[in-house]
Amino acid sequence: MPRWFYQLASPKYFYQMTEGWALWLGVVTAILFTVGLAWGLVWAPIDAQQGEAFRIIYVHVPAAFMSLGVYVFIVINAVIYWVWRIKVADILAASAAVLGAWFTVITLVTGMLWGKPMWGAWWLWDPRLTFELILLFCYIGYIALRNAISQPERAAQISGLWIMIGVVNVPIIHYSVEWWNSIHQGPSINILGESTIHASMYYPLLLMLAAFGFYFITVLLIKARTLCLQREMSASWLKELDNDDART
Amino acid sequence: MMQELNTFFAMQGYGVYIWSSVLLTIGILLGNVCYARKQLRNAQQISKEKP
Repeated sequence: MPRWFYQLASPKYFYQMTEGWALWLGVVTAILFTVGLAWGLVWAPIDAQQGEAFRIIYVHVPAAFMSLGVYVFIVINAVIYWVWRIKVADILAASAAVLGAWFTVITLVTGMLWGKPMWGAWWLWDPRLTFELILLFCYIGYIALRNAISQPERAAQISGLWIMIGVVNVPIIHYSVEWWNSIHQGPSINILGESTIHASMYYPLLLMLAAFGFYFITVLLIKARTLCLQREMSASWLKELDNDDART
Repeated sequence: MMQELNTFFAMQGYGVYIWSSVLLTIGILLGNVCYARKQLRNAQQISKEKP
């Protein structure tokens, strides 16, 4: 493993190494969003059954994908912190939580805006919708626990336990359309097999998925760097960094 | 031209739902970026001012 990989586990090196990354990732994010949205909203053909209404897929599905992906990301980092007490893992988990919650909100609200014209109702107690709502409660609980406990290490441990228990929700959401008689349509993206939607609609969806992914990494880095500063405020490396900045 | 634009934005009558979804998503994502950047600037300012 290269040395820089191990150094990323230290808040000091993480903060210094990631300087400037967010700008370039942000540029890539903006390009992906522009191309993906233009392709999906303008050039992708109309759906035979849903007409133009299907175009909500280009914000709803990537947000849903990210709501689950970010949750798993937090769980992985929580486990890393539990086992090895790597500070940056906890910083990444804490930074990702609010983003994951917002992705879940986008999923639920755009789902409602899609469901009203298609199903005739803003909300149904469908398994997928219900468990996605529970996922939002899991996120809120995690954020609330972190904020309620003043000691960062204790907050990380207790909230980490909460998030690890809630991970059972992720496969339930994913497989709910197969396990139960759900009104929600099946998966649009099939990583291990052929997708159920036409290529002309699929490629802009992949672009939007990439856009959301790059967006998450961009904002995660900004938030994680902020948390590094806040937690290491009295550290000597920060004073040296500020002195170097003052000299230049 | 105007007629074509109106047709495009109407989206077969689903325009309200589609554009609300898109604008809400963009608004939330932009809001998060702006807030995150503001927090980072504040933290950097505090670290510089701290004795």
